[in-house]
Amino acid sequence: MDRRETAKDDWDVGGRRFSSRLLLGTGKFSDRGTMVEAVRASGSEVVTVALRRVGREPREDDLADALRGLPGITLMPNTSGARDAAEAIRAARLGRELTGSPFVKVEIHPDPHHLLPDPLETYEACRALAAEGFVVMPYMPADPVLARRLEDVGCASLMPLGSAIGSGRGLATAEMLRLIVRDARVPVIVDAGLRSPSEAAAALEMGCDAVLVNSAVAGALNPVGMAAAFARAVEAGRAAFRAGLIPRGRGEAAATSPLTAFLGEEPR
Amino acid sequence: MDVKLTVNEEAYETRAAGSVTTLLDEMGLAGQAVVVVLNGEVLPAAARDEQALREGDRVDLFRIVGGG
Repeated sequence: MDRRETAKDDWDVGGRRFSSRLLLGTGKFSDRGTMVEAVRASGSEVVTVALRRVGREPREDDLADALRGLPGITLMPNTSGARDAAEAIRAARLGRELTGSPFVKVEIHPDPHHLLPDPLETYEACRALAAEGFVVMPYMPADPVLARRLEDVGCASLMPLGSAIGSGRGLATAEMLRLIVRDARVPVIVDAGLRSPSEAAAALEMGCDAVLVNSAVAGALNPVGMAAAFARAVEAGRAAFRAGLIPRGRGEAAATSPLTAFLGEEPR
Repeated sequence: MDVKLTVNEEAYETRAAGSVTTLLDEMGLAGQAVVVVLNGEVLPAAARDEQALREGDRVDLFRIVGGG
């Protein structure tokens, strides 16, 4: 689809309209206050949360209070911790019960070493959850064939990884992302692996609709400052995409100033 | 009389046989955003006051935490 069409540059997913193209994860922040300030600085309208069993200390880790300070934010519970489709479906139902949000980030990564998504279990979970009426947002390998299959079962967006979760390796999957973006009929959100705002800008420049970051912000020396930097980079990348980049050259120069008749001499 | 339950996969004895709401109060979770799964089924929040707990019931409690 042509992502340059709309005059006002909002985007839609799951029947909701958003203006910010930066989604933020809430994990790994040193404290809840910093997390809330980072969400504000990011301008994000969609934030991810996780679910866990209540521990022995009832007050530990409770994020619900902090999130009440962020009115108007769409919560997207993830299914992290799920090792297969059945566990992810169960986690999604719990997340909906707890947050009241129909959005779910389907995240099934059975191997803690690389945290790469299981394509078969992800597909099965997405198919079932879309049929149950969830707004399904799959964290997925950057695979154009799987992307099409996930669209066909009713996913509201595609969230291919740039590189492994938390790795800070940026857009290692750039060539595959281009293919996904070219053919996608739903929003494409690069999820995972980004380290720097310039990588987020590059994702938007290539036509991705949004990016989701967490570690890059939460782990920064100044998370609130980094959240603001990502917000500006995403805006710049999107503006560049809409403005239309020049074709990539083959290495020869193409002069920007006239090369003829300077002081009566022709160039050699 | 105490009622023996399994709460979050650990043995737990409630001091008073009562409802799910009573259990949450006892655990210091009153008013907190938790979802209750009773014997494998999500229990709607509106049903907590009425739902009595019986010997051997399995209760799982989940909450929102930070995540990406």
